[in-house]
Parts: sequence; C-alpha cells; structure tokens
Amino acid sequence: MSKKEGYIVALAGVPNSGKSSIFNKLTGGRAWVGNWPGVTIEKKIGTMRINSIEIEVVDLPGIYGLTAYSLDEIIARNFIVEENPDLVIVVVNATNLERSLYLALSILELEANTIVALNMVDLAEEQGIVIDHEKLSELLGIPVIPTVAVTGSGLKKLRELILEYVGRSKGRTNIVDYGYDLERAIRDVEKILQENVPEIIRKYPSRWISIKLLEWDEDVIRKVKSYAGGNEVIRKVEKIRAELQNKIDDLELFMTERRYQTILNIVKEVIKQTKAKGVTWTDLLDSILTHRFLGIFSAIAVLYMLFRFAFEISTPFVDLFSILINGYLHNRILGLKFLPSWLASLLADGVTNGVGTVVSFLPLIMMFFLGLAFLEDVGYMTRIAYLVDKLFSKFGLSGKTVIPLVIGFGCNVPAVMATRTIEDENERKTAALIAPLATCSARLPVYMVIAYAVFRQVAGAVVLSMYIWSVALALLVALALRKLVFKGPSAGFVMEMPPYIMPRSDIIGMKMWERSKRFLYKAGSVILIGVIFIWLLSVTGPSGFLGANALSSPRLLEHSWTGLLGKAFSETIFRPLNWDWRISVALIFGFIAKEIVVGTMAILYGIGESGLPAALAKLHAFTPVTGYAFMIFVLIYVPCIATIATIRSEMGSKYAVMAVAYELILAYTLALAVISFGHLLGVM
Amino acid sequence: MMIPLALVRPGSTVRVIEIRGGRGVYSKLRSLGIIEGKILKVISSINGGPVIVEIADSIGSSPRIVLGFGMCMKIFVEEA
Ligand SMILES: Nc1nc2c(ncn2[C@@H]2O[C@H](COP(=O)(O)OP(=O)(O)OP(=O)(O)O)[C@@H](O)[C@H]2O)c(=O)[nH]1
Ligand SMILES: [Mg+2]
Repeated sequence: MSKKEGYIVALAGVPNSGKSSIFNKLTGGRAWVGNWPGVTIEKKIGTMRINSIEIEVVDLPGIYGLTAYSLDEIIARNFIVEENPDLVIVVVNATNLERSLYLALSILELEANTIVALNMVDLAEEQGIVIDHEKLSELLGIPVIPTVAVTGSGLKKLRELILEYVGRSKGRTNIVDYGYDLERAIRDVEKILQENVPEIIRKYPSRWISIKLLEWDEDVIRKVKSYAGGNEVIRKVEKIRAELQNKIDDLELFMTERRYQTILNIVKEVIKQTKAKGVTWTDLLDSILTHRFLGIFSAIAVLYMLFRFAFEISTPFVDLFSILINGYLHNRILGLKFLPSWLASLLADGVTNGVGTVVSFLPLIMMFFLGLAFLEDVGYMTRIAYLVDKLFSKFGLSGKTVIPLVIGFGCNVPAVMATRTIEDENERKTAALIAPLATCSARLPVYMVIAYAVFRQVAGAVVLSMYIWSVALALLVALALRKLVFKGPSAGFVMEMPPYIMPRSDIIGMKMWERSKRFLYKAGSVILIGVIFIWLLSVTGPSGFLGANALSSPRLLEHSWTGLLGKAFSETIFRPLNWDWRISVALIFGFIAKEIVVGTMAILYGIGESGLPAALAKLHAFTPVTGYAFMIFVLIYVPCIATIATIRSEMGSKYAVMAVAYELILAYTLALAVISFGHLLGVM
Repeated sequence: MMIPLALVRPGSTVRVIEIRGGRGVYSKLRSLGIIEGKILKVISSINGGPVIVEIADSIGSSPRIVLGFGMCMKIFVEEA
C-alpha cells in the first residue's frame, strides 16, 4: 500500500460545484469558498491522510470545458491536461447535471483516470431532483459517489474510492459517438498522428488530439505544430475538415450537439424529477433583487444595512477595547516601577498605544468581515455584478469587475488576484490596477479616528462617503486607463448566477475568523515592528537619546528623527495641505500598511484616557477640511506594500510602478482639491 | 421572426436560432449550454444592459446565466 504515497489527486469541476468545500473536508484545509463562480483562482495543494497513507490533493479553479478563456481557467486546464494527475475527481453539481456532465465528458475523452463526486445532492433533493447515481456510474463507466460537501456526507466513501482508484490507468473511451462520418475522420486523423508525430500520442491520447484538431481547437493546434512534422498534420487535417464540411456545414456546432445529445440521453435515464418545478426562493428574491428598478434600490439598502449593522454592533465593543487597552493597560505598564523608564515608555507609549489602538478596532473589523462573508455566501455577488454591469460598461468594464472591488473592501491583495477571472486582458489589467482603490478594512480605523475627532455627529456619514469616493474613483481611473493605456473593445460578459443559499454559520464563522486572524497576525508582526521602529526614531534624534519622556514633550519630540523626517515633508511637499509634521510621519510609514497610520498617530499624539479621536480633537490636529483631505489621501495613496507586490507578481514591475505613481499623484491632487475647496468656502 | 436576445421582454420564452460572433464567445456560450435550438426564458433585463436567462428546457433545475448587452445582441432568437 505504501506505494500510494506520492500520488496526486486533482479536483476538477464547473465553477461553484463545491470543489473547495470537498477539498477542505478531505485535507482539513481552509480553502476559500463562496457562492459565486470563480472563488478559487489558484491551485491549492493539501494532504489527505488515510490509513497512514498521504495523498496530495489539488483544488483547482472551476472550468466549464477543456478550452480555457481566463487565467484561472488556464491554470485548471493545464493542470488536468499537462500534469497528468493520478486521479481526477470530477465534482458534479447535482442541481445542474447537464452543464457538469459537459465537463465530465471532456475529461473522460482525455482518458484521465476519473471518479465522480455527485455533490450538492441535498440542494437537488430540495428541488425535487433525485439522481440514480448507480445508473450514472454505469453509463459513464466510472464510480459515482453522492456527496454533500458542507456536511461531509459521502466523504468517507469518497476517501475510500480515492484510495482504491488512485494510480489506475484508464483506457480508451468512446463516450461520445460522433456519428459515422466524423468517427471515420477521427480514425483518419489518428492514423496521420501516428505516422507524423508519434511522440505526441505518447503524451496525450490520440483520439482526444484528433477530436480537438477536427474541432479546430487553437491550443491543440499549437501543441501539434510544436512537434516536428506537426505542420504537415495540420495541413492534412485541414483537408479532412474541408471534406467533412461538404456534409456537415458547422463542424464545431455538430460536435457540441453530439455531446449534448449524449448528455441528454444520460440525464434522461438518471434523473427522476419527483416534484414539478415550483416557485423557489431564488425566483422570489430575484424578482425583487434583480428587478430593473427595485434591484438597484435594494442593493443600496442591503449594503447600507450591512454597513450600519457592522457599526452599531461594534461601537460599544470598540470603546470598551479602547478603554481597556489605552486606558487601563497603558497606565498599568507605566505604573510598574521596576521597569526602567525607557522600557516602560516603549511598552506603554509605543507598543500599547501603537498596536493597541489598531487592535481596539478588532470588533468593528470582525463585524465588517461577517457582513462580507454573508454577502459572499448568500449568492448576492453575482446579482451585484448584474445590477452594475450597465453602469460599469460606460467606464470600459464589465459587471464582473465589481466582484474584485467588493472583495477589495476586505483586503486588496485577494482583490488583485480575483481579477484573474476576467477574460479580456485589457479589462483584467484595468481591474487589477483599480483594485487598490477599493477601500480596504485596514483603512477603516483611519477614517473612524479622524471622523470621530472632527465630524462627531456626522461621523458615520463621513465614513460612508469614503466608500462612495472609493467606487467613483475606481470607475473614473478605469475609464482613463481604458482610454489611454488598455485600449480595446469591451469583451462580452457571461456569468453563471447560482441560486441563493442560506449561509451556514460554521462557514461564515470560519471565513470571518480567517480574515480576522490575518488582521491580528499583521498587528503582531508588521505593525508591531513598525511601531517599535517609530518609537525608537521618536526618542532618539541627531543629538542622541532624548529621554523616555520625549513622547510627552512636543518640544523634545520635534528634535527627534521622526520630527525631522516629518518636518522635511510637512514644510515642503505637504505644506499646501496644512498637515502637522506628525501626520506626515504617519503617512510615510503608512506606506507599509495602513494600520500603521493609526498606530503612528497614537504614538506621536499620545492618547489620553478617552482615546485617540478625543486626543486629536483636543490638540486640534485636524480641522474638518484638513481632516477630510487626509481621509481622501489615505483612501487613494498606496494601500500597502503587499498589494503592490501582488500587482507586481501578477502583472510585472512596470504595472506596479504605474499603480504607485497614479495613486500618489491622484491622492495628492485630490487632497489639495479638498483643501482649496475648503478655502473657497472659507471653512478652514 | 428573429430578434436579438437583448430586445426580448422579461417573462418571454424564446428559442435560440443563431449565435454570431467570434470563436471565443461562441464556445464559451456553448460550454454553458447556450446552443442553437435551446429554449431560454428571460428572467430579468435592464434596458441597454444585461439580461438574465434561464435554460428552460433542461431536465432538473434551470441554471441562470447573466449575459451582457453586447453578448445579447449576438444571440438571435425567436418566440417559442
Ligand atoms: N447545500 C450545499 N451547499 C454546498 C455543497 N457544496 C458546496 N456548497 C456551497 O456551495 C458554494 C460553492 O462552494 P465552493 O466549494 O466554493 O465551490 P467551488 O467549486 O470551489 O467554486 P469555484 O472555486 O468558484 O470554482 C459555497 O457557498 C458552499 O458552501 C453541498 O453539498 N450542499
Ligand atoms: Mg473553489
């Protein structure tokens, strides 16, 4: 049995069929799941242990067929076609058998060693669809196991089958019969391949290559041409195609129809519809949520309610955290007489104030993530895409782009990655470059602090306005990019729209916790280091150590390294913006990650008993105008190093530089515009 | 009478007659099950914007697909 180690099992299937959910159950992993097509955009490897045997399981992005259109689909297609996994588990969506089987047949034609996980049988049953899985197994000639990935039902059986079938080789299947003329042509092409490019049919099944060539699949044509003698093959196939076209005018259509015919025959035999199609929840909800007028109003209402919900629920907890950390903990540390004064200052004024202020926003951020997870899992994302498509098309984007933007409200890094699902290259690059304008959760604490310091009663509305700016600017920058850099016509927009499902609390909880954990991890690593560094630069200066009380003495602080650095900016480039030198320092270090902005302000301004906003208000650090300009600047300028690094790895250095450049210029220009506007109105 | 899908009123049921457009568009639609001869039900649409259709003649539940305006101008249908 030990020879089963080192085996690789791939999970393939149409988007949103539950591959990642099955992956999580098989490997105990934490692959991201969500109720829209295109959640997984990168292959993810995990290990499944069974009877002390380890098998590698690979979760792949969803695909509809073995022709790939977008980057995520190419990843999946290449893995299945080129990497030769020892077993392919085709995850079939039981509520949508026809579409899933189209892919299953393609994989069977590839003669891959395949088993089927017939997933979502619970949802199918709810809709009155009963599938005879034994019959399905017989017709496909491979094992079929019904599963419910979210509850784990059927997973034990699946594991056993994996163990039994992994590494078997699969023979030739003529699962689809293409009819007399085509079958003869396929045989002819197979012979031609054998004579001219024998190497290629050692790597790929000859029937599969022949079918793909007759279908004029550009990818396979390229593959064949790369072999010596390949051009000759293509010329001969062209002739065969021309002959065939005397009888069948649209070859590709004919082949697709044959496949669907095969599928229909299978489906007819295996599906027992026990209930008539009734009105479903999805029908009811969609009649309002995708209504041409009501839809957009409901969208605004839904998003606004989620926003209020996150705010209202978390505010008392944020206040409590703030009192505990910045009040109680801070004073306790300062009260520890045995600590040398410099260490007490580092721990209290540096770490507790700096990191603590960031961490005190945890309740807000968690509630925000809860709302986001709900949106993702209930199935609303694709509806938002539908509703905004017309508007977005005026800016050279398709509605699909809204999905990366919404994800970006959580974090910009996965948002940049999520643009992989956009087929059109120009649109995709545009989307990746505007993704950083989605105002991420790390920017939320900055808005909160400033809004509560200067806008008080209207703080909520002011924070909300940042989200409106965020979307508006993303669209305007997209328009500019599409007009100037990524020119080209808009590609078509096609997207499957899954039914609504009631999100499961365990999945929502897991997603909220995973995202919050990343926030806490960041607080304990990057932010902590950043904050210690800033403390260090604040208690020292060109004249050496300034003393532990430098942070409570503005005069001393001005002579620290941070003071000099901040002034170098606030007295030059930031001068027209009327920001204090401490704000300049916060912005400079905020380049690394936005949480550091709040952390830095907490250190440099110091926090009294009543929190940072109150401290800022007392010191008159901001006027409404300079405060708003600051919020706008934080919204637009470089989100964090990690996002830029992601743009670089996804698209190359050139685009990373471009992103940084436009963000800095735009942030500065708009902040200046706010200040000038304030001057104009005379409300400094 | 053959009209583009974009002009079909919500609630109507239509048959796909012809899909025009490049290979990419074409085979993507096909792998999603939108092929000549299929019956589609238009669920919702936004004027000059996207359309939500349901593949009406599928056995089992009917999957929904959003098609952008441009796409809908390339799919020609007739009343079914
Ligand atoms: N009721 C029910 N829901 C399921 C089942 N399997 C998955 N889901 C839900 O279906 C949605 C899609 O699941 P994923 O695992 O993300 O699907 P995927 O195939 O990985 O999707 P992509 O990565 O987008 O291709 C999620 O909301 C899951 O919670 C199931 O068997 N029953
Ligand atoms: Mg997935």
